[in-house]
Amino acid sequence: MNPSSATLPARLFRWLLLAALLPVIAAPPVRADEMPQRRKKTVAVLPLKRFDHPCSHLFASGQESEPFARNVHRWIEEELGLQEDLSVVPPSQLWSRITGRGDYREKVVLGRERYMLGKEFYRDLRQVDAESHLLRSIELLDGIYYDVVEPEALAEIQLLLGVTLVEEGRAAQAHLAFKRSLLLAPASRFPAGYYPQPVEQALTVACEDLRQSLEREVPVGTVERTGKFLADLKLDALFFPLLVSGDEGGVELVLVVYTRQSRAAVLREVLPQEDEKVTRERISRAVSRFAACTPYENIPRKVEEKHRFLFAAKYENLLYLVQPVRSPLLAMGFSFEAGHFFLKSFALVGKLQVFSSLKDRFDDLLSGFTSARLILGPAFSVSGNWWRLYVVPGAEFHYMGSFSVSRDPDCKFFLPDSDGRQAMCPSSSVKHFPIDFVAGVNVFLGSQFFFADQLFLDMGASVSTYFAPFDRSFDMNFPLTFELGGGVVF
Amino acid sequence: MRLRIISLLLFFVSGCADADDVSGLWQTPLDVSAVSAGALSNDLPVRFRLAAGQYGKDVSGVLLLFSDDLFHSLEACRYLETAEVRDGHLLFSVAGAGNEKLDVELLLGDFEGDEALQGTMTGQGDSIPIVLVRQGDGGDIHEEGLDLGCPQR
Repeated sequence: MNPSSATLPARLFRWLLLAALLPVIAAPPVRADEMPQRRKKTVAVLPLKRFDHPCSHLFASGQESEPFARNVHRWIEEELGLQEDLSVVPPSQLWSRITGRGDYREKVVLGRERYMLGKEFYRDLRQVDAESHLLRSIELLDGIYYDVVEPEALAEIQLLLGVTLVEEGRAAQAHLAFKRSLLLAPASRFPAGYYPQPVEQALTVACEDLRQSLEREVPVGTVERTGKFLADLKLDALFFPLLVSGDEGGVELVLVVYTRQSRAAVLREVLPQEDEKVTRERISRAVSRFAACTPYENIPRKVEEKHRFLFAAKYENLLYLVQPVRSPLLAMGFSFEAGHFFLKSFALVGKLQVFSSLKDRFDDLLSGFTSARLILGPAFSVSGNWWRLYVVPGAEFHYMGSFSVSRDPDCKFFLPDSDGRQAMCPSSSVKHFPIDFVAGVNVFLGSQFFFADQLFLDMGASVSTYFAPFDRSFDMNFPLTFELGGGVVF
Repeated sequence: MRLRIISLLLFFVSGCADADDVSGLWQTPLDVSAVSAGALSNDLPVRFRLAAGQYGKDVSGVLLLFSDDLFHSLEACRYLETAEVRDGHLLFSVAGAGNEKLDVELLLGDFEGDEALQGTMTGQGDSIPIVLVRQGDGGDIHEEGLDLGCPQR
């Protein structure tokens, strides 16, 4: 062997092995039995609605101050943001999610058109026509959660519907329309005497009724619609803060929370309004309680996080791309593999494979031969919940049994040592390959599919190239293998 | 793409089997008269038996000549030389009497419903008609000991 020619590949091989082992040395070990990760709950907070003024103020002028309302909303968001397992969707993003839906703009235009038509018909004293257009307008706008984005605009439509229904003498339906209008826009104020007496009366009754039923109100109308709203906007929970008049004349903050799965409020907190510090502390406690009591789904652990050891057995077909016969030379065999995961996606793998040659098409291979190889190398993988893709660049040591090859048909037809063989098959027609040891590099690409927690199907392909011993050419090289089998991890 | 893969697989599968495979044991049927093979059979009427193995287009084997209907009285045995299958024909030559070479050309076809090789053996004299019907496969050749070469007489 020429030492100078052997040094370079040997050095290269050493560096490759060192590079492969680097992640093991550098990275800290990871426990396979880590705690499962929880899926974060996505929550949103609707703007605070104030029902803390008496209904007698409905027809009084004046604006109400908003700082407390804005603060409460901010406090709730901040407290939610402090919870590790909750992810808060800010109002701007919530609005974007609603208005970004496919048919939002179209439905707004159509809904507004219907409203304008309804208004025109109302002015023309055609209440029946006005009612149908207003109802259609509400239907269109409800479909795109316009009541969340523009509650005041929808409240205006509901108000006109209520007025129309009053004029039609349908008091019960008018009551519901006014009630919803006031729920959507609790800060609404109407100039005294602007509406006829029956309308003012109906509005006052609706306001009083709403105050009584606030405890039962659901954020976006009904439980079903709230559930759909949460699902459509990919939210897990919706916070609905209300400011109501307290029993003893004070003001109370009511915090109602609905989740996608619940059929009723999962949290209903009544917080007497005190100074800001106390209120905030109470909000903090309520949010903590919600976060603690909410059931969380565990994120399924990836395959790579489940185990540290792997054993597999596979059936293999091997095809030598360079071989001494005229047709493809195939061998079949079995592979036994063991792996140890040092990191989530890094393992050291050892494979022992045994092959038996198959007849080639022209029977050039006079006698079958067995071979065995040992492959050692690192495995790098990516994985999902039930699958893993991996690559194993490894060093291969291959033992090949002896065999003979000939292209002379007489050497194939007549049995060894027979008269026919001696007469017709000259020894020069037969090439003998003695027992041989070769070494090289093997690259395996594989996939594992887990059909049970610890069991998997494994399939893949590999190719090798031999370069050692360095001082000769190789009659057999570039074996290509296809492997199929199964294994267990633990 | 899927069709391509299937076609490729079919190609490989079909490539594993030769369409014209003469491997096996062949002999003159009893309803065909024995013929003289000239000096090769000492001018006796003989029946032929052919044991052949085909490897790609290359063929190896032995041709035996029997002077009785039971294939017991062996008159001559010759190794096939430069034997090959080409366009449905089995072509080979055998050593004749002295330095003479006899060329044999047999067409793979059927004879009264049986798979058969029919043709002639040509030397310096007249052509000798040959009809051979398949009698068995490689297993029969082995049982007859013909894969050992020409039998010792």
